Amino acid sequence: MRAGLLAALALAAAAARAGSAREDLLALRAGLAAQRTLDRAPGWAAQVSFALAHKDDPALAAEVLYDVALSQREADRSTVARTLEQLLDAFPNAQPWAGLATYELARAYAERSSTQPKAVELYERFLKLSAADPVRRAEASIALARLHQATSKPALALAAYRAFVEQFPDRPRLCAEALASSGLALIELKQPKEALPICERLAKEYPWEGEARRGLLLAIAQAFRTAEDTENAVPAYEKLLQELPRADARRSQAYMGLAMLYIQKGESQKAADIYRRLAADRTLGASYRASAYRQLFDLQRRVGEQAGVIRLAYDIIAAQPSGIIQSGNVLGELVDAFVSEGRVDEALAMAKAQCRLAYLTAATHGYAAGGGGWTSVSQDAIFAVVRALKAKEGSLLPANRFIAFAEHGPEGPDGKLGTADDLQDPTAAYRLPADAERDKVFAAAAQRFISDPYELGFLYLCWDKPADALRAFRRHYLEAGEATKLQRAAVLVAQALRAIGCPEADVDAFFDYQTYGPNGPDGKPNTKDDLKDPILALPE
Amino acid sequence: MRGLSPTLLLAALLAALPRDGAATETPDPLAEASAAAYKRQYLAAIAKAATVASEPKETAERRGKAFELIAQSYLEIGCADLAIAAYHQALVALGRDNPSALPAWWRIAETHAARQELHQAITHLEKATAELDLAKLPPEARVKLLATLAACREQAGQTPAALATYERLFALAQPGDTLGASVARAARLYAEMHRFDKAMACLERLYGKLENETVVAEAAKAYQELAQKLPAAGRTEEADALDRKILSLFVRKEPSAARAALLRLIGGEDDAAVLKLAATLQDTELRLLAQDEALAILTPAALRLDRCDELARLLTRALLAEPFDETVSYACSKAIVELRLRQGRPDDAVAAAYVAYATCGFAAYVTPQSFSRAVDLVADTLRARDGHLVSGNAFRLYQVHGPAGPDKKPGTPDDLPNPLAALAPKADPELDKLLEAAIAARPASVAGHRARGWAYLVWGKPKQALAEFKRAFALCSLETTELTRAAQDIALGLKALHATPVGMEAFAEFQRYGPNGPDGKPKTADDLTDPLAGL
Repeated sequence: MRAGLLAALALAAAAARAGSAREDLLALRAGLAAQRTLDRAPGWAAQVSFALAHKDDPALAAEVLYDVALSQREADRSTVARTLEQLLDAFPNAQPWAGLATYELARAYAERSSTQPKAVELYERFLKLSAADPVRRAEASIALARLHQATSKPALALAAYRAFVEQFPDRPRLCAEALASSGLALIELKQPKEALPICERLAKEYPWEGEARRGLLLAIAQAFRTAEDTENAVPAYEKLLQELPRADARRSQAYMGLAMLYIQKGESQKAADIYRRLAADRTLGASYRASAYRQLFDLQRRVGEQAGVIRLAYDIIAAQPSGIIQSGNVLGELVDAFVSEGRVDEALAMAKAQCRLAYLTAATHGYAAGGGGWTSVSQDAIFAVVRALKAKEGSLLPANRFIAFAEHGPEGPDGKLGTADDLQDPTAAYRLPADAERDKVFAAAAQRFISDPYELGFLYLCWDKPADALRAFRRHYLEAGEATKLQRAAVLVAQALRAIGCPEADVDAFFDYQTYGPNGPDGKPNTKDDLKDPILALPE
Repeated sequence: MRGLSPTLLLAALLAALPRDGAATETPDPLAEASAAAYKRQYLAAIAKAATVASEPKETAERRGKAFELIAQSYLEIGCADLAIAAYHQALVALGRDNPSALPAWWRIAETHAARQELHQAITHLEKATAELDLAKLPPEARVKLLATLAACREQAGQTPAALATYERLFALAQPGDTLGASVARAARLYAEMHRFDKAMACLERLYGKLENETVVAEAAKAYQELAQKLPAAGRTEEADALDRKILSLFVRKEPSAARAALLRLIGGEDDAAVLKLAATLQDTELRLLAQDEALAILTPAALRLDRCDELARLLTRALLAEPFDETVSYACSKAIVELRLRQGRPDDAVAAAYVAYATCGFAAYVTPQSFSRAVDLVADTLRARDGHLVSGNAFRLYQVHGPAGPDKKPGTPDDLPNPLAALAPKADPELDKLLEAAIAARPASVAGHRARGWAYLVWGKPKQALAEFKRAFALCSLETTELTRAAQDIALGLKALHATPVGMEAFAEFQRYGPNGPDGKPKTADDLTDPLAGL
């Protein structure tokens, strides 16, 4: 209290000196406040001018500039650095203002990467000042360590973080950050083993800072894997999986990393186990599970066990039916697996599914409807059918017929339905034979996607239930809300109709029905132009 | 952390001082000082106030006010150091534990903190709490000093020291001390540090004592912090219990916290548990169901378990619990639409979409967005029901032109039919019982008739709704807000009855001109009929 009082009295005395600079300053500020410009650009300019005009009183001038900088920090951060630079240029020894300005300028410089080296210099200078208060000293210390890390100087960052933890143990949040960051610095220095004890220390001393600990553990595990140190990487990943909360997106990274490790070690079975764990992790999104199945599928394919390949392909389809479009090889491999097993009917049905799905890419990738659309069907998909047809029929004739059908559609080369050159789909008569195991998996998926007709449509296409698929896509279209979604859904229905071999006339009929309803263009029931929805007319 | 702004403090001081023209013959220097400060003549204000502050014969209260005025004037002119000096002078001149000087302690700290001089603020408050006998201070001063110190320590990252300060505050607290915000902050810090039992104890202390908005906001953060962290420590049951408390405490005061709590509660559960939990919600909490994330969990659960009717009734309860809340009514109706469509009950889906339409916006021109989204919902549902776009498009046209069609003349070929006229939803005796009970529970007052009208709209009975709104209109006072609201309710009912906003102005015209029309003469061409006649 006494020191404060003495300071106050000294200030008051200074203020009372008639004609003194401080009195002038008071008058200036009072005038600016009366005009409401004290905390705005004109007020700052007036005060800076005042300070520069009183260079003979460095303490006062530096104080004024510092006050202006504080005011600018609140109102216009872009101007702070200039004022503080002026202060330090003109009054480098006017303490405590020069010291405080050094700290504030370091903070301002730290915000931009181009001025971060200068910020480092200023923080270092500030920390050498004996008068620096402990709160600012702590802030400056951690800020300096962060800057070293941000400017890729891990050794310096490590030293700075360690120093912080030693000097400021009463700031647990920052200590936890410093510890975790020192671990990351060690990883950058290629010393992941040394970072492991830091994880343990974090868990022991700062159990509440789980997020930083998990981030560090992931980085350690990845570093071990990159260094091909599987002995340490595996336990690191396993520990990470134990610590990551449910539904944390990093779980998939951990699973994938661990599985890759096992693959590198040649332990395919263990890798497959990890992928199975990922696929079974219900807290992760469908795309992660589908991705896990795909990885498993690739593993299984390499092993060469066809029954496993087939089972996994079903799991992949059931996990995210619409995702099959992006994993084109799954259905192709499935066709090959069936052919190898001699199950040609299933091979043919799956080849048809692949072809149909390839057809839908035109809709899901936003291509315009119409124009035949067969051109968008990938060659792979067509040849999958061709391969299966060849295997089924033992000759190339139906395969060639299918190629012609794929090229021209049911209208044939003249593009008109009901003429002599109309074509039949040579695969139309071949249906997917029943399979209790597959049907159970697909039925469970259908139940899961009860509210999602989009996924249901894809599932039914893979299940060789084209009418159900069309009805699902129709439902998706009818329930689509706003205009953009509606347009996309309409393209999907059109492509789905074409995919199952319907003539263009059916596509037109569907959209005519949408426009006019059952009464047709004349709006009257029971007249010649009455319309029917071609999808609903399909047999169950 | 930051205290009142200097301007606000000056305004408060001015309000407490005698005004110009008061019955004092000699001018009061303190009043003159405040008047000068009011005119932004800060140096004059300081000089005048100093005469009172330095006069030992003045009362401590007046001298305290004078010092405060000086300090605030210095802050107004950007001289924080002189403001702090003035506060120090007050402490010396009046005595450091004088009630009139006590605010100076925390004002000094607040001034330092506002300049990010946290070390000085902390040092100063540590001194205050060491030198003063806190137990003998007035409650406000005791709480303020320790709470400000704890907040400064927290801001400086000294969490253990901040918690120790809060503990000291709680230990010293006496009945009547307002500790809500401090308890909430301490609870949040304990939760953050995984000291769960301490955090729980704080929240127990806080339960039912949410004194003001600041406390509510702090408490909501504290409850959430703890509820989010407990499961990781394996204390899921306590987390669930806490989330239940969050629902009941913050459903109105901090809805985002309550919504998050509901999502946590239903997030990881199986379908049956999700529906069971939803069924236990109180009426006041049902509004929380009206969020996309919650409905995205509940709707598929009900579908998978084939318990759609149960969920639809629950959502109807939510509609009834929140009369005239468009957000709730749209979200719940939309969810029922989805349920009914998935169930293969398209007519019921259209009926649910109609509820969203009937209860939305008091008039299309007042709330165009909510009106148009409700029209979209009806049109989309008609499309889903019919399998084509025709009736959906017809409904949109009907909104623009009404039954008379584009030429606005009834009985001509372009007249339009009401696409919702033949709506035939499936009977649901349980739902009817629920609605009957809701209507019967409302008294025959203005508010009661309004609520009954709302319930009839939810029931899809616009004629009865309009009759109730008519009664409310007849009973309501002539006070502008009430009258306008009653008239808007009539408009709402008319829109629902005719399934179009076209023609709603007939009611306004009839109110303005009466049956004789604008010319005031009976049996002329402009005579008007009461659109509510016969209800």
